[in-house]
Amino acid sequence: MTTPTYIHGEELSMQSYRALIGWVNNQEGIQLLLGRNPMPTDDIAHLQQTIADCRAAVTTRPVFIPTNPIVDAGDDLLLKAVK
Amino acid sequence: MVNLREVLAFQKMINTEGLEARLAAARTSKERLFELCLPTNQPLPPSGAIVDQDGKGLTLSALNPNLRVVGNQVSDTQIPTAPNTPPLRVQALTFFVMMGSSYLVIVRYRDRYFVRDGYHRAVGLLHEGIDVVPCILLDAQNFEQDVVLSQPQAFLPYEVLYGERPPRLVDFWDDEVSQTVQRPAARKVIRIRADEFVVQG
Repeated sequence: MTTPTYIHGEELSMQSYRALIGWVNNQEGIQLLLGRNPMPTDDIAHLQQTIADCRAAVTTRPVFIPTNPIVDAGDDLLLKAVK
Repeated sequence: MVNLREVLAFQKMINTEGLEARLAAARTSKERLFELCLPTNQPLPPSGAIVDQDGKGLTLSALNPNLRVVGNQVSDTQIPTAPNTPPLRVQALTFFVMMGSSYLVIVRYRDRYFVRDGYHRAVGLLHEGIDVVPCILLDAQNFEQDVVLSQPQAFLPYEVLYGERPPRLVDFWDDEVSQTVQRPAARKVIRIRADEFVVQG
């Protein structure tokens, strides 16, 4: 995956994404929340707070215990057909 | 079948555009759900390309980010030159492009299960409350080659994924740890250009 190329001054069509802010570093979090690289004029204090809140929410979670997500489909005919 | 609530995510973000339209059919029947997760018809790459004015370059693009170059081939071939003259023997330098597999793929590596392909669908299915879905399950031998497909820089790092609190797929919808963001729409573009050089020696 490469970083998209932007043409300065050209209007961009924007799309919605969901981003896992709680697991990225501060710099990347700011970039994700802004949708671009920060500029000196950007007020990033509230973005840094959002990132800090997300990261804090992750750290308060219980430790992950690996579980097997495979579900026995039994005699599902459709699944048998796919196999 | 796999329970998507128990699966981890290594992709940092997912595009949520068009989710409802894409998942509308899957809600109606099990057959449609199977077709969404394990489609019988694979997406085809763009059928045309823009040719450079000098005939030495090709550009093709798609909204689907899975468009990619998957190989090349060097072979002998013949091309016609003019009527009533024998064809000219040339070397064909061919690049192959494809959209990638459109199956929902879950990969198991060191006792953890990740979505490898099909993030858009999988996250959308969770949003619709559809947790248990059919998928292709693979066992990975190598994290970089089999899990993140040699693009580790594009995804969350290994230390996070094998840390104490890795992100689950369902976390994309948890506002405590994830956010909706706006990003420029992007097209995947492949550009192939044949340049000629004279090199001394």
